[in-house]
Amino acid sequence: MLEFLKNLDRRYIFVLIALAVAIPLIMPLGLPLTPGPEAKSMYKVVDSLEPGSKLVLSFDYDPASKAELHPMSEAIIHHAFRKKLKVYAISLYPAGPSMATNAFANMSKDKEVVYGKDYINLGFYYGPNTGLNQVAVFSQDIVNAFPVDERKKPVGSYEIMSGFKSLKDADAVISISAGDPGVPAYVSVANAIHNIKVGAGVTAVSAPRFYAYMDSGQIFGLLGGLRGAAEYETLEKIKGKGLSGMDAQSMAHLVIILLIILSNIIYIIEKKD
Amino acid sequence: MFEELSIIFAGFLTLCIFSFLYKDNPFYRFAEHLYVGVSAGYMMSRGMADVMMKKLYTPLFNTPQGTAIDYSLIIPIVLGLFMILKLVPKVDWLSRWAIALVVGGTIGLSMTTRFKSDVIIQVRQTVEAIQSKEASLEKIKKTQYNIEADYSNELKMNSAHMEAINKLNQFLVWEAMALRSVVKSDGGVKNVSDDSLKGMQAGWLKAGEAKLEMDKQLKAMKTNLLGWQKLYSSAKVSIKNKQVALKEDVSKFFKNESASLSYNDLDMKSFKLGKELEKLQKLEVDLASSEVILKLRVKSLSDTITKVSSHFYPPAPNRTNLEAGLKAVQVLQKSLQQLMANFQSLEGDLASYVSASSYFSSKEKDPLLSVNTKSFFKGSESSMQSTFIKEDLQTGFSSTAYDLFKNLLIAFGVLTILVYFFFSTEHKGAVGVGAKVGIYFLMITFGASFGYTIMARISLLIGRMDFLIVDVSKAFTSMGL
Repeated sequence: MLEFLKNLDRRYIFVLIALAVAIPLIMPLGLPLTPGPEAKSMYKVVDSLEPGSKLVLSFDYDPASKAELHPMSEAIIHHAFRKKLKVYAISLYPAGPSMATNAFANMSKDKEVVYGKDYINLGFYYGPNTGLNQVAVFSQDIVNAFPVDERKKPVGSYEIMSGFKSLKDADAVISISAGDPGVPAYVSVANAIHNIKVGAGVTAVSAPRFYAYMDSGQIFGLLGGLRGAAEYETLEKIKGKGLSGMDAQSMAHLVIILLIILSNIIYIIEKKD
Repeated sequence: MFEELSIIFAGFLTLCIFSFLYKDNPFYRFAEHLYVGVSAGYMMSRGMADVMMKKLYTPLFNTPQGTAIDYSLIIPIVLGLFMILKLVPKVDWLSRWAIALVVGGTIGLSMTTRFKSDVIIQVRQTVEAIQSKEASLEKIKKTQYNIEADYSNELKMNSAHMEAINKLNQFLVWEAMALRSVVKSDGGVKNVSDDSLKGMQAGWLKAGEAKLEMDKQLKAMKTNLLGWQKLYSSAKVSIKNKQVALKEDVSKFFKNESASLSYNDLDMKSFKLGKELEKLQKLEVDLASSEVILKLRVKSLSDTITKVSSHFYPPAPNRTNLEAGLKAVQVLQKSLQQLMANFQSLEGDLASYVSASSYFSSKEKDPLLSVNTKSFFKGSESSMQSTFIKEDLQTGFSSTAYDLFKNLLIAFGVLTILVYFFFSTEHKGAVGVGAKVGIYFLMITFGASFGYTIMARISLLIGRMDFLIVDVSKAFTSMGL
């Protein structure tokens, strides 16, 4: 048995992890989830905005990070639509606008929201220097950066654009980002230079880096990975992809922890022998 | 139908990629190459549409009518061509110009932005975080409006004001009575005796003196009223400053505390803070309306002064002008009655101001501001309205020890890690111990990051599994399979 475990084929572990993820997805366990202070802070700021306030959502990710970040975007859009905020989608990633289109399509179902009046997808703005250049432009003149929206119509023709000339006109900016360009650019330019309120939704891999920004007050909220999305969904009282994935996440973590313990036991036994 | 087929095909590609977990195979390679090709093609098409067409071709060759062609765009075209020249060995050095521009631009932007956000602000917050909460409290205290001094001034002005009103009131009552009795005692203008005439002339002179005194009082009152106006204006400015200071200080306080507060606490504090600011705003509106009333009073007083003066300068009474003089006295009496009515009304206003001031005073509250320094920090039962802020602050301070420990630990960790990365001195003795501790801090940091990395990767797996289980099965169902 010990020999078998010592030389265990890694593909057994793959199967184990696959089962740990798949079973809770098919049969949800309903494990409890308590939102953390970072997610609460993000929720609180969005929730405190008056109806008609301008919320900019920067879709700085592509399909590679969709599993982690898209549920966040959808939960925030749900919240914004419920609060009757005006939502402006922009992107520092070429594939970002299609993510925004998808999130808006999912969240506008059964809601009385109108494109161009309640929300708009301004598209992708190309720029070098890992987003700094783009955010600097957005902070000064967003209409110049996006003369036409994702539907190729002049942005000036939309009602939602009246009174929205730059990021400075926004009541809050949230970057849902898979890395650079993304949150760092918004923190370095929009917040540090122009004092614009910035919130962050990031992949779990990059989340530890952004806690420093949270502690220093440079961002008003932080959603880290799928858990961050699930926390926001809990606060918003909706059941999205974030919450449905948390049981699977917990089970997978449990399997990994058990495997680590087992490996250490085998190591200790082997050392004794 | 097309959408369902797309989803099923995407599911097939996902399985192809997963098949690599078993071993390398043609299905995996097919999916991998397709993914790389499609990604590159998509990036290129977006680049063509968003950059080449939107930012280069349209402004140069397809400009809207009335828009000038932007010839400066030729520069990036040339630099772009230089980049491509990297492929031509003879002139590949030209590509370095374009690369140098990009690198220089990036460094320039980073110097001014990332240095501020990632160094200056971070260092400042690290240092500020280990300051005691008492120091922050002291800072908030200093920003408070100097209420007591202003209140004392206000009371002084009130008492001078009231004194002036009383004196003037007494004088006017006496003067009106005297005038009436002189005219009445001789039974009309025509029968007035020489003695009465002389008395009236003497009284006229006295009335002139009294008028001068009244002028003086009225002017003093006008000055007082203008003083009130100034006080109210400065109070308005103070309230504005106070609002800004309160917002900044308390939001900063909440920001520092938010991590250690429960959601409900945070919610309640924000709610209370909002209410407090609302009160300040309401007070600002009240002050603005008081200022308007005062302005009206000043105008009314000025009008009365002018009116009284115009009737006070007919010639001294004699037999020929006595009738006209009596008419003038009657008009003057009416004016004086109006003035008295004005004074009484003003007295009423002032009485209400004084009673309001007394109310605030008894509540240990600022007469002009709703948040009093005293009640804010010392607290009293009678100042319930602002006690909650004090409670908030006290609640915050209860976690001082924990915060201090946390912040000191972070500062200590930062220092030891810096020691570890300082290679100019050999890691021996105290430096060696510091470096060793620094390694432990680094290991804990990397461990936390690694934990997050596992979570991220599992999240991606969940995303794909969810797609296979939910979306693909839905697509099959909707196709009747």
